[in-house]
Amino acid sequence: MSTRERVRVIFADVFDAPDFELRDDMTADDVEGWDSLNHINLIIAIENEFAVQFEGTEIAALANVGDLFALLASRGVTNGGAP
Amino acid sequence: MTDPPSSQLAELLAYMTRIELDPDRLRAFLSVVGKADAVAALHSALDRVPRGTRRLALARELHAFDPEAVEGFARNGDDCARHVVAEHRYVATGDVEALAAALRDGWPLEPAAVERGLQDAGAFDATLLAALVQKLGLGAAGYRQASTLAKRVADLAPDLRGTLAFPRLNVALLGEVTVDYVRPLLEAALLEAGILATVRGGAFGELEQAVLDQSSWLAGFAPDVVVVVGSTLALPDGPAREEFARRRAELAALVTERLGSDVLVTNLEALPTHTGPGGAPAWVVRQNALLAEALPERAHVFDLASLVAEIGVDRWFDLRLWSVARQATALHATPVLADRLARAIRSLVEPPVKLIVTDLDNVLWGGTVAEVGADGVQLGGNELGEAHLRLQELLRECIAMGFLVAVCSKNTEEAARSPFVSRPEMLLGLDDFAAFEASFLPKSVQLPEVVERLNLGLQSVLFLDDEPHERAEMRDRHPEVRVPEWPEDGIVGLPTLLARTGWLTRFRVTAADELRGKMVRDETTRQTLRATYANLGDFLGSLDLVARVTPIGAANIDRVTQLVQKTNQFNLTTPRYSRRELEERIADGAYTAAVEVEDRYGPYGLTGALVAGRHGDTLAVDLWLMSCRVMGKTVELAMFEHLLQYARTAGIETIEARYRPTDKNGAIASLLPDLGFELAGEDAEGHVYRFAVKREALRANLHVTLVDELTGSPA
Repeated sequence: MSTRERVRVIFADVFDAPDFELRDDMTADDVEGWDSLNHINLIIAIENEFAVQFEGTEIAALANVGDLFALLASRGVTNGGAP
Repeated sequence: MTDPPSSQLAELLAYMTRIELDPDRLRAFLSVVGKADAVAALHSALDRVPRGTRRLALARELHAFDPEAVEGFARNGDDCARHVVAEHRYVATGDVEALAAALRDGWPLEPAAVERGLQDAGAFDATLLAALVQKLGLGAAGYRQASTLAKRVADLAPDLRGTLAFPRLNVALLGEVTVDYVRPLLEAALLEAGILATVRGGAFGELEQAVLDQSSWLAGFAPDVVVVVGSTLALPDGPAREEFARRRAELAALVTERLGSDVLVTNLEALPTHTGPGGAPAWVVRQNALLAEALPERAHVFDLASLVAEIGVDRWFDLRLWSVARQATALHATPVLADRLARAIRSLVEPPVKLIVTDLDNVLWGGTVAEVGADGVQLGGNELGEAHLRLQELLRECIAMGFLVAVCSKNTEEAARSPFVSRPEMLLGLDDFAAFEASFLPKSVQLPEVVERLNLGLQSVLFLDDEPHERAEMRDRHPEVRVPEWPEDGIVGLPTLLARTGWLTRFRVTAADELRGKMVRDETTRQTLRATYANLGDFLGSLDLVARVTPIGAANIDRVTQLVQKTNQFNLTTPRYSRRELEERIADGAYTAAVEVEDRYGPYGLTGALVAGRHGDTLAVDLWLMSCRVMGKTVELAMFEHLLQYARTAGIETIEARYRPTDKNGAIASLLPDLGFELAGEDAEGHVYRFAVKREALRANLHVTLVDELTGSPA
């Protein structure tokens, strides 16, 4: 499974939407239920999935899904670009 | 002669499974030795490992290689094997009946079945979901697992309310920290604890305001219990720290006054930054001590400090979450927090446990006293023996706290008492017990007698027993009795498990509690034990006992030989026949009977055997034994009935039997006279008894349906 798909599955799981579609310019405002609570749920699930750790400041600075893939890439998790 | 390799491997396997077993290591080991050796070693190890979690682990591995063998064990009444077959069937086919069976039987569920259960949970009905939640142990689950389950619980909330007769409870969380993560988990954890709760929480930092504001969410909610959730992280550096206990006490008083609820208040935990000697700084220790004293009536400390110490600061905290979301614990610590909060809430609202009823064998000591004698039971010496002593120590502390402790044991009175008399290592003495019941009556019959004698109700009893069958029977017969599951790591894990249940948490110990314990113990020693149990017949009748009698033959001779070698308590003359000797008796045309027993709680397997040789018109009983697991269920009457039927059709006039007393078989000293045999003398092999076949047997007391396998119909 590609990095992108693995991330998509986590979003689908957290937002309880099996067919969740992931876009790089997607922000918290675009997704129903993406509140601060689910933001943490997403981050922790992604950390566990890829065995990485982010800084608190990095978590707070994420503006959209593209930033998330960039952050993952900074930890050596690539293959996260356009499908 | 050297052992074949599989036997050495079996030895190693049995050693590996001596205490507990890491399945990954077991699997790695098996993959190295090759399939044939692995199967042989597993079979051989299963022959020597008694039922318990180790047997369960071995049966799971064997199932991977040889499912039919495990199914065979299951058919022979091995309940570990039955559990393995059921959970495997569920994982492979999704058959919810199989899951329900595996959830009911008292054994833990394997991870793959848990995983599938979580996936399927959306489609479960309320009963099955509740059973899954109760089995899973939320506190031990990962955050993702726990929150998936919590989501299902929330989805099914209306159904759960419609289906389950659990008590209802409104719980409010007042958080100085974020309570959003723990809130849904707490609802699931309370379901696990047997409470249907609605849990609501406010925004973090909203404490006194929520209570004072008439229009707040709290006012309309009418909570039964309010939990004030805080953290040392939330206390700013400065003089406010020294106000912590006083401020919490005032808040608690406000809650009890305004809302009439019970209150739990978390105390202050040590932080990862508290690295000085002694961990928590002096002000934290001081404020915790003050808090315990300052809280008003109906408000109690939830000991967060001890919980964090138990789990460890490294695992407890994720300080990034504190900065980002005012979440005071790592997400993976939230299931534990929810679990412990649920237990504390339960012990606030439940009738308190007053009496702890404990089993003896493999609980207070290691081994079966009737088998190994008082000198042979394990007390100290290794990690297991020490664990038994630690439990005794814990029970002594409970007695000091005002709990009553009583014994219910399936043993003779003499055997049960012997270690207390002759083993100086014992920490508990006979004087410590409020009651001491040792007989072969079902424990669900023993217990009400004890409870009545102590003027208590069953709802104040905590029942400790390592046998899944005993626990299942007690839960079924007396649902109000609290029956903790047995830990997966056995006696070693029991104190932790008991702490986790919260049932032994006394929020306040009063002088009256301590005094009461002493008075009851004195009173009991004056009372005499009741000799008769009016409801025993009714009880046995309701068990739907079935005894299936087959001749001893190729299909069962291994198991019979094993019983012949092992059985000490119900064994008339204790002859240790070898397999070959048994085969010779069969060839000689002796009457042979192997008995399989089953009741509504499931099969006991092959648990009895009788061999009698014909000499003219006399039938001489050479072997009569029964496993102690089925003693007290009138199975012996059924066996005798079968023997009599044979005697009548075979033209036998006299049945002769001997009783040879040993250290272990005192419990059946009066078996033959009770059946109507008459003492005819004594010879080198024991007391000789005779029974005239013309006489009527005591059929009226038979509570067992006898099935003769020769004819396949009820005899």
